[in-house]
Amino acid sequence: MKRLITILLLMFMITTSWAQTAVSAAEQKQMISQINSAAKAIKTLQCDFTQVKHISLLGNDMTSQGRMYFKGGNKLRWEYSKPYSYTFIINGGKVQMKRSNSQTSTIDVNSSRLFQEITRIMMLSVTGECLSNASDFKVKMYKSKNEWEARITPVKKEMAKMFSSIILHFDAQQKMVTCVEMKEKSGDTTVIRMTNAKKNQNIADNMFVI
Amino acid sequence: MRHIVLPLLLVMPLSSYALETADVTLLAKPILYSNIEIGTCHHIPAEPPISLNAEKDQGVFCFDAEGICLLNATFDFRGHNLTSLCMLKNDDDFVKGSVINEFGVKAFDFEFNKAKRKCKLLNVMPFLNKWYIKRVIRQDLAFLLTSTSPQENSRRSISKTSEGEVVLRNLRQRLTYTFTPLHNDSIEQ
Repeated sequence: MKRLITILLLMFMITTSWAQTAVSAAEQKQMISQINSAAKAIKTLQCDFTQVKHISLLGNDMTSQGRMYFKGGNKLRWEYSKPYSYTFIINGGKVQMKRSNSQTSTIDVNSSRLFQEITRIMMLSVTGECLSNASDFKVKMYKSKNEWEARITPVKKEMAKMFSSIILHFDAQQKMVTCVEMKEKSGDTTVIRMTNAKKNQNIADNMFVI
Repeated sequence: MRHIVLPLLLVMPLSSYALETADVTLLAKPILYSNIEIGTCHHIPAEPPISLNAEKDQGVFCFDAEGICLLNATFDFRGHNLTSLCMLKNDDDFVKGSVINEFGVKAFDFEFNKAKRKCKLLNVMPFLNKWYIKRVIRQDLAFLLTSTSPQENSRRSISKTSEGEVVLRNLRQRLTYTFTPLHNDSIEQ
């Protein structure tokens, strides 16, 4: 019995040492500041991603893969290649969505109040204010040995209706996002893992042409 | 890398629905408030010729050995279109399905009861969560899933190409649904 208790105690200690622990308000502020500093040093970024969507009604997962390109000055290309082809490009005040069968939609963000709001929040993220902006999200930071976690709860009604929470996983050394988990009100989850990240390497402007 | 997060969380999930669904909302209202459609569409699922074999070979879709069918789905409404993915699961009593956008954000789930030939929408995203939109989608899906071959009546038509692309047209609403099969190697149980 004594042996069993010792084993259980050891297991508990191991488990808790892996778990994320909440940080104090002061430490949270410091962590967010470090993330913001790391973000400001990024001029370009490209990586592969794998997206796993769990559909709770069906009990199945759907996996898709692709590549992401980011360039400072509001340029983003998010490209799915498998099992479907779909490209989403943001370039300044325009957004384009492209499908393999050449269906393309282009939107001027100034034409829609919703898109203006989205762009505003995007700008907050680019300038490093996203995790510290309390009007859009409530943020609680957690940490373990190798990873930081930002647990985000949407404050605005439209987002709050769709997502119950969003978790961002950061590499504790690089202060960069490695994984995003989105939990929907319906019980579905979407997990996006980023791999093979390359920072500050040249990306041709024509990747973002709309 | 953090830069990608909010574009991902905000622009992507909302945008590919927001544009087109906003238009759908605006355009669908006048039709449904015109007093022509109200009360008349309820009989639609019973109208098309129904195959007695419908329980095994559900509708015009081909399911894999696990009873799964993965599709690209496009909704066209008077010049506006919405692209998405649709996963269907066929079991003994129901065809269950989920329509999500390319970024994984759900538009709606549905359950089609084979015995009752009725479709129920679940977890409908706020942009589409209007009774007049839900009624049209529910009835169109019921028509689609009870039909086992290409056909046409005064309200709707279904066609299927040799590549397996299925097109459902709601003639009154001028709404077209196009379903194109995707390879199922991305699905895990």
